[in-house]
Amino acid sequence: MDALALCLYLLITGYITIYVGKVLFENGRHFLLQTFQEVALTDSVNRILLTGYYLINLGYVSIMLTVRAPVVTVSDLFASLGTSVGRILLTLGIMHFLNIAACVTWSKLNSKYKPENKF
Amino acid sequence: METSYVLISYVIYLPLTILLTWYVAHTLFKNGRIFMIDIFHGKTEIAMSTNKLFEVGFYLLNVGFALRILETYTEITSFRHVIEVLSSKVGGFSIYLGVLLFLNVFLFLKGRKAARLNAKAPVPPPGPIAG
Repeated sequence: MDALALCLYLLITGYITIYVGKVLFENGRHFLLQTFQEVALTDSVNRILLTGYYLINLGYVSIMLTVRAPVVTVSDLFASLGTSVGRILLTLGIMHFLNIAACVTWSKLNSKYKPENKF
Repeated sequence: METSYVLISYVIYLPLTILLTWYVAHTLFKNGRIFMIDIFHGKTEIAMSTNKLFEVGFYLLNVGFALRILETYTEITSFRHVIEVLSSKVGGFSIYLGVLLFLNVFLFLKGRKAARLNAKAPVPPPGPIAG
């Protein structure tokens, strides 16, 4: 049961991390394009950011790879998985909103010096 | 015996909360598009991107929270107890969802107001609304 919990945890969090990374990669491009105003630069910065995202979050997922109590029954499995996957999801969500806040602050700072780029 | 009751409560709780989250997010962000287009002065592309980004964040936070509060610490001994525990959990979660929903609507309205105040300069005509 312990090994099953670990495998399920890795599968679920890995899938969600990669899926969220893909969505951010596709949708964050417009924001970066607005800041850098140059397609080639934007694409390379976007790719670098995606790599950093994967490194940080998959690293976090594997650091948090622990099963608290001995998992004996199916309901233990549910409880353990719920707690650990929930923690990863909450962290991802909070980091995501912090990222949006950083993007907004960045473009505000930028438009302060270049008023013609204001959106 | 109590294990099976706990398992029943988990099996009911999980689909219920995930469905609830999906429903709220779907409603909120289907109707949030029009606000986003207003906020970004008709720039459809960036408005849709922002909408999607907020949607993903909303899902992450809420599903994460739902999973975090999944575990039951009390012993469940009867079916009646299952229903009581479930209803207090699902009720608490849906109150939390409702508060977040209103917070989101408040943010949308605030952003729209700020965008209108900003838009004293000539504004480009709104583009077509993408699906």
